[in-house]
Amino acid sequence: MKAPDFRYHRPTTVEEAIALLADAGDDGKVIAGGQSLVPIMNMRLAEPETLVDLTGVDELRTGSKTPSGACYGATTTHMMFEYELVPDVTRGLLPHAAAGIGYPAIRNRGTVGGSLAHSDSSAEWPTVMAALDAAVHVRSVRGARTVPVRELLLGFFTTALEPDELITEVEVPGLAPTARWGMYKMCRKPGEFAESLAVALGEAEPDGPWREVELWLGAAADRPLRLNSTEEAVRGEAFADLLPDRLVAPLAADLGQDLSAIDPTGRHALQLHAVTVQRALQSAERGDTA
Amino acid sequence: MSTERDVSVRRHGVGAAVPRREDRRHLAGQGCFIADVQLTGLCEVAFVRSQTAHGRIREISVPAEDREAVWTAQRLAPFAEPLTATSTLEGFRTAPLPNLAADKVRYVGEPVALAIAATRAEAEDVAGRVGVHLEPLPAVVDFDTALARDAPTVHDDWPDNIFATTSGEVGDVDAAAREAAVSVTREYTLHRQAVVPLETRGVIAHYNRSTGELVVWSSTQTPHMIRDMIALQLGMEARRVRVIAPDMGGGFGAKCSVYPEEITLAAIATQVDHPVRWVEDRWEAQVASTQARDHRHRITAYAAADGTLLGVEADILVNSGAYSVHPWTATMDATMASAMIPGPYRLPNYRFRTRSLASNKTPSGPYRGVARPAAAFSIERTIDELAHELAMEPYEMRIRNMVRSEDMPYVSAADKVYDSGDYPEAVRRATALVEHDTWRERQRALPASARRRIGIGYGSFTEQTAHGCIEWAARGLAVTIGTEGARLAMDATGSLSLSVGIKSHGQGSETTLAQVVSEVFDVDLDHVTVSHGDTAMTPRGDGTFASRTMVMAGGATHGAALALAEKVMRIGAVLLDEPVQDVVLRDHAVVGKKGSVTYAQLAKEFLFTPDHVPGVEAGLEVVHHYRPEVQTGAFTYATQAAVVEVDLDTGAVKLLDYAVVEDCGTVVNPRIVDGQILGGIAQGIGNALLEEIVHDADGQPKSTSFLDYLLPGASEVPQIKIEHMATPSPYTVFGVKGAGEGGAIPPPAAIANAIRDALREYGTEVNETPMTPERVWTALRTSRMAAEAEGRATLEAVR
Repeated sequence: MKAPDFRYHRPTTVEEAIALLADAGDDGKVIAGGQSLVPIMNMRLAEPETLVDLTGVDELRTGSKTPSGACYGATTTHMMFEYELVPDVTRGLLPHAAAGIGYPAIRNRGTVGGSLAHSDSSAEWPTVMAALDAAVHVRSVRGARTVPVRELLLGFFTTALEPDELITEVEVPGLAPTARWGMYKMCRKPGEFAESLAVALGEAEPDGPWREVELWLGAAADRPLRLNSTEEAVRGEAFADLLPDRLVAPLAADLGQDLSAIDPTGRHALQLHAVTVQRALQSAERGDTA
Repeated sequence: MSTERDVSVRRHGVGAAVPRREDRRHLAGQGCFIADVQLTGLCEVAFVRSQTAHGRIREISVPAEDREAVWTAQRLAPFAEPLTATSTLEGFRTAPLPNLAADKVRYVGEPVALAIAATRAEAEDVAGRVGVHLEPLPAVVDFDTALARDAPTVHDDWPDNIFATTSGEVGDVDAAAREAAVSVTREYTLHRQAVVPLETRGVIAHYNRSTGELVVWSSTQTPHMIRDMIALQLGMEARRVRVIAPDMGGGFGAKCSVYPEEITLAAIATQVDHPVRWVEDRWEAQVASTQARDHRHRITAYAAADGTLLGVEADILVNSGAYSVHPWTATMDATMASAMIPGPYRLPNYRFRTRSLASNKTPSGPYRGVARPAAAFSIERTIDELAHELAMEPYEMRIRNMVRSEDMPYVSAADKVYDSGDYPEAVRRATALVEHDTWRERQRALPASARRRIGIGYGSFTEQTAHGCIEWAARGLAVTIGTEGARLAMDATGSLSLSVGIKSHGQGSETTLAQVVSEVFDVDLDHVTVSHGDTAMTPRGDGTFASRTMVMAGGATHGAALALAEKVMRIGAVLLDEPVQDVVLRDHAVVGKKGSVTYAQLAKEFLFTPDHVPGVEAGLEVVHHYRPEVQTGAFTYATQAAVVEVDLDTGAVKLLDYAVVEDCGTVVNPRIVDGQILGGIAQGIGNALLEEIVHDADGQPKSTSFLDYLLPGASEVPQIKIEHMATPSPYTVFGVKGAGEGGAIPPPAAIANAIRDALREYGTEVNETPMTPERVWTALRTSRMAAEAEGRATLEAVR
């Protein structure tokens, strides 16, 4: 469990970083917090020849409000969101999500851009940022572009980024003052990756049914999923009626699962997703929203 | 003798709640573990391990430039013999445990070759270039495939996959069955666990050419045993082998077998001109350190209408993995399970059969509790089911059937001699400590519409600790452990040096054994050094395992201290010019009726100028070897009570409360005993709810990192209430009983019974560990669907 040999660069500007990435070609890899990359390198599941460490690039560790929301540098750590060292425009959703990631040591190093580039749908940021319809700003020596998170995440460990591209910023639209959110992470132990992760966003009557709701689910597929059928089942429903049993069928439809052919392990996983969605809706209802 | 007069005034003696002396260096980061050792020219080793559970080795290819750095079975063979852990049990089938696999690989993780380089990373580079070409064979993974008529065999020359079968009957179970008002039959499974000490294993071997001595550092619980076996497997005289176990981050049984890595590195060290070190990484620890549990028991029990337990029948399967390990053998778990299923009960009729199976899994070895968590799970779940059949409170069923203080000593159905205590009283006190009635009220107060349920469960056990030779012999061991040595010396400054053959690896023996010395000499612990873990510095001993150290090394230490004290008092009497019967040892001095002399003055007089002390023979040093007169062991027992909350929507189980009433005899250090109990329960909670090495059908382990293998942490272990009963054992020095393992034994039973209690309205049982949310929820769903189907059928019948 020791990493093989690699070249290591620690640039101080984005220009330097993207030049190094371009030089490294297909065998280059960006490292920021290293909380996922280093273990898989030590296990020799990833053997990049060149690492470009972004932690020396000060301009990437910033956060500021924009007219429509906020923009966060790619190496903004989970801890910075958790303690609101960067502005929050989501009425508490970003700090709440950040506080649930791993353990303090992980949150102190792990970064938002790194988590999105890693694309593990059982992590917090892919689902939360997809739900918020955030976008990443991407740079390479070939130019700059903006990619919505919903289009960035293509699958497990797979993104729309080219090998020479670097996420520089994450742009998050602000939530309306009337918006309501709920989030629930199901995991066996605090700090573990999610077995299920749901975000509910929308508008609801005070103490009443959801008028508009958008549901996103992580840890169920190779990327965050929008739950169209489940949204349909929830819309206009009184909250007390939203028991997990009622969510199982629409969820199975959203996940493309055949309820009659499911094995016990798959059935329990589906149940956990149903409970997670229910609890996300419930937490919004209870006003856990800041 | 006169030292016993002052027992009550000993400030740091037996019973004192002194802080652990070891903590000072560990909390300051000043410990020295295998990975910290620095030696000139030290090179690092990386193993090439099988990635396939079962396969025939066709070729091992090594690039020409790596030939010097790489060792295979063929290259190693002239320098080390493989070890065969055999047994005296009738029909036991043997198979050598290869140092490096030669013909076949039999589990994922089995060492096939090793590479040596200046750093571990470079050694892994070299290891990565070694090609292992296998012809894959069908794997033997679970109980059913191991026992199938057409099963592949793990060992080619065996007719099947059974290491050994044992059986026995006491009384007449068939007659009990005819008399019984109720009977229950259940199957219980404890899945396989890794042991997971915080510090993984590690070995350093250095052949000192100037002295001809082979020094092996190993993170081992049994340094003297490792020394003997290295000498034998390498064909050396043991005088030339020294084994040092430095500071250790736990062992829990995973570090008390003789391992191929120890023999292999020792052999290679004799052939290369530099020391070599291997530090097990976490993946290796999850596949190559001995594993545990993997039991399946089928139990039928019979009871009379008044709740009297009449008979038990047990069919026990243990999946022992690919090889039998020295010295415990592959039947260690099965024979312990059959011996302990009768538990703390007056059971007149008992019949059992055990089969220990070979499979393509990591070899099984000891783990805190050794088979007793499984035995307790079986009997304790069964007691609860009988109680439910009879509409009794399960704790009342326990009290009714347990061995009482007036029955002691009691010979169990499995021929074990329970020495002392009041088993039913522990149950009574546990119900009070956990506040049984209060929880029953809270349970009833939950509305039916709530999405959670509360349950209370009990787990009781009795545990043989510190047993002597005859007990190990009865279980078929070729090495029957049962003695322990201690050497105590007073030096010219009057301070005391104790050296013992055990290896403290987290038990705090540097504190508790110093307390035994202080009990006799009445000294501050700072004046006593306790050395352990170095075969060149300590008298022979068997090691630390089987909850034996406080009894065995404590007994040896006490014997040495009494003998030395007797001499110190004679010297003091001469120096004070008083009769020896008039002197006592008190506060660092020999105190007479007229005067006193400090140990420092006395030792200086006696060692610098022996002529000042006429009539006393030379030397201030004693070696004492201890063997308990009664070898059947001191039985620790306890009842643990768990209160759980079960989430009906997810199957998640949360512990709301936990209480323990235990009796480990005389408590030498209450803080250390409580620490042992808390740590044991934490591991028991892991066993009950979290930990499982999952294998796929090809024998590939699927939970080899902490991503998938969940360990209990602060958030999974509730506040635990502990009460001690402290009934001295009549058979041991000070009446001490072992305390190391007990905490880990009943948590799976207590928690399973609590889950059963929580879900009684649905009739749901969870009879396998770990009781994961998936298992609990699936069992709940199955029983609810069955109840609905039954309800529909009843309704239709009514119509």
